Amino acid sequence: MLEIKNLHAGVEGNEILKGIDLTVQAGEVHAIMGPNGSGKSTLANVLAGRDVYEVTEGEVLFEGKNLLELEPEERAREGIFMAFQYPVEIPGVGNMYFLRTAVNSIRKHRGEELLDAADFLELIRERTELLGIDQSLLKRAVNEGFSGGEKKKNEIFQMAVIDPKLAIMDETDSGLDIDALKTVADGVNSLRGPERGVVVVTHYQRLLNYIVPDFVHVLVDGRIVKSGDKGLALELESKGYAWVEREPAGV
Amino acid sequence: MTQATTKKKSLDGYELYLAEFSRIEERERATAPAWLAELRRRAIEHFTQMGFPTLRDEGWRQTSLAPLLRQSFTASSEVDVEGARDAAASYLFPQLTACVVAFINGRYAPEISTVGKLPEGVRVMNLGRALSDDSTAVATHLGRHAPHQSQAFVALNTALHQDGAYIHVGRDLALEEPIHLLFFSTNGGGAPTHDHVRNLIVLEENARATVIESYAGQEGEVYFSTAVTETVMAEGSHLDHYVVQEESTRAYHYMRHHIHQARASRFSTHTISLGGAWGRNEISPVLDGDQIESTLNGLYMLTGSQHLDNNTMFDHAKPHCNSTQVYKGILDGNAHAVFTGKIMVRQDAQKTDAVQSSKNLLLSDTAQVNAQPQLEIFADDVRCTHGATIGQLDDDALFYLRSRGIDRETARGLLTFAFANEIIEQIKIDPLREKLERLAARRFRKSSPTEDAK
Repeated sequence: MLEIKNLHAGVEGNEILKGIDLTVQAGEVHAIMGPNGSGKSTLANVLAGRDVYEVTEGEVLFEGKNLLELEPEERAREGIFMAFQYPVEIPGVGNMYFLRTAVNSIRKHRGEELLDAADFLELIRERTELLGIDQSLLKRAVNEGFSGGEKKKNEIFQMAVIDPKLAIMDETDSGLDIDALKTVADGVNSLRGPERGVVVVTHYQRLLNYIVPDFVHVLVDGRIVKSGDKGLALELESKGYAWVEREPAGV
Repeated sequence: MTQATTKKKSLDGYELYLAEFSRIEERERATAPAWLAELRRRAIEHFTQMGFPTLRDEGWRQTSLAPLLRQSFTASSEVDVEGARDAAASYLFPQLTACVVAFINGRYAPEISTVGKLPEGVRVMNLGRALSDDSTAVATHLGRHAPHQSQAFVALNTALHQDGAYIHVGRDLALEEPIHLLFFSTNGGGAPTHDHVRNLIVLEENARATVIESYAGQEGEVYFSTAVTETVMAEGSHLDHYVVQEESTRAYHYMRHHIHQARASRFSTHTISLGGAWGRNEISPVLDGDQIESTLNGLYMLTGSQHLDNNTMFDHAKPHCNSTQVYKGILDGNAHAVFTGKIMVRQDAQKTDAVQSSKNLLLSDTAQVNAQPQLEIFADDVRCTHGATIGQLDDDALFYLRSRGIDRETARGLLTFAFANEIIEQIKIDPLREKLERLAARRFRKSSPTEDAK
């Protein structure tokens, strides 16, 4: 569903991604690991369409469409969802109104019927139960005054409501205690399925104990230097990133 | 105080105001009480001595009166207002059970007013009637609080006011229904006109009331209106007060609200400004007793070439009082806003807690804001904080919304609405709040988060 070919991207002439190749099929979970500054978050943000990053070379196809030509909202409507590393607080915009606007924008694009307030509430009830999310969070403004854990849970909750084809988790585990980590992982696991692709970007292996990936890729200095199965994550955990940095690139 | 009386001013362009004064003097010769005639006479003298303020006057450096002075105005009493009644009435709230006192071109409009039956001890009427029905109270307060000796616009209004609202709530009485005062201006499609209203609100000890003042006009018409309100609050009284300004986008509007608060009284006002080509709002509570709470909140949403100057002054005269102030502005096009918030803490006012913030959102490259907090503190044990921000929509928030499938325009509308809503959501009167939600949503692009905010 996602094909990244020789992707180069950066900020203000500073190249961060230096030729990424990655293919994700529906039903697969890919983990992208790497040391700080290796370009993991840049990759996630480029896929979501954040315009501070400039793509200088390469292409990204999502279900055959040229993703890089699409606005962020168009990518979301096509089925891409990024769970943010740092979800923004938006005072004054209610969570429920925001989510319904989002869901209906996407449904409209897909030619589906729009959800009225009652249908939407039903969907919300179902998803909060599935994920064990406290409904009172939804009555507040988007992320406003949420703890770090609440913000991350809210990202997963949005993902569950929006029901994307490809979910990109940008360091969703950062700043989470072990309980919150489990909740988030349970949420992601409940959404795994043959139709959905998942890309998990993380610095640490520990999230991958809970969200077990099909593939693990190691990103160093803007390039994928090593790919493997879940065993690679464990190996990294014990040997550290210095180990792959010394290895020649290749699979 | 700030306008030196020694400076010579040409009276060119003032003839129309002097002529109006003569007309009023003539008309009231047989009917008005002597003190009122005297008050008007002194006020017009002050006005001609001071003249309108200029850019050199403190407090007026960012607001030019040149467009106002270039314009000639005729007396609004010449305009036939019969045809304007429906337009004026469209600014009422049909869903709101309220006591309504309406004015068109400064004159009482009984046809669209509904005062109804009031509890004993509560009087709501037009000032003209109060001059005979409640002459002592009016004579005690009218012109005693708003400074016609030092402020030219107040002097002009004191000299020329045609009518206005009078509210008097007696001791220990709480008026449940809000009082809605509507002031509508129209030149009848003819030459530009001027009109002047004067309001007096008196709350006796522990009295409670809610007052909405709406200022509106026939869209597209040029007129000049002034409104001065004097509010006198006795010990323990509460007033919830709202001002909604929906003037014609070509109108000139001056408003001053002077509030005198006694011990343990609680005053709050929200000033929402949408209309007018040129506007100046002055609000000045005097906290003259301990344990007083006073809140001034404001929201202005300007586009085109609108100019609005908000000038507030908290006078903390006594100890142990709290004042809070939040003003928010959203500016598009070539709009220009000025905010000057002065907090005066006098020597006696120990333990004052004063909080002020001014936040502005610029939606275009050519909109402009001048925000200026001014603190003058003569007491040593006080807490005063202030802050002013001027910025654009948050790019991160915009991207966040878009990354969830919401298009750019809708996302911008949502964020802009959210900025305004911090003030709007504090409005306790449902039909008023809902109306402002609609107006804000319409003005800043089609997003109306009201329907399922629950």
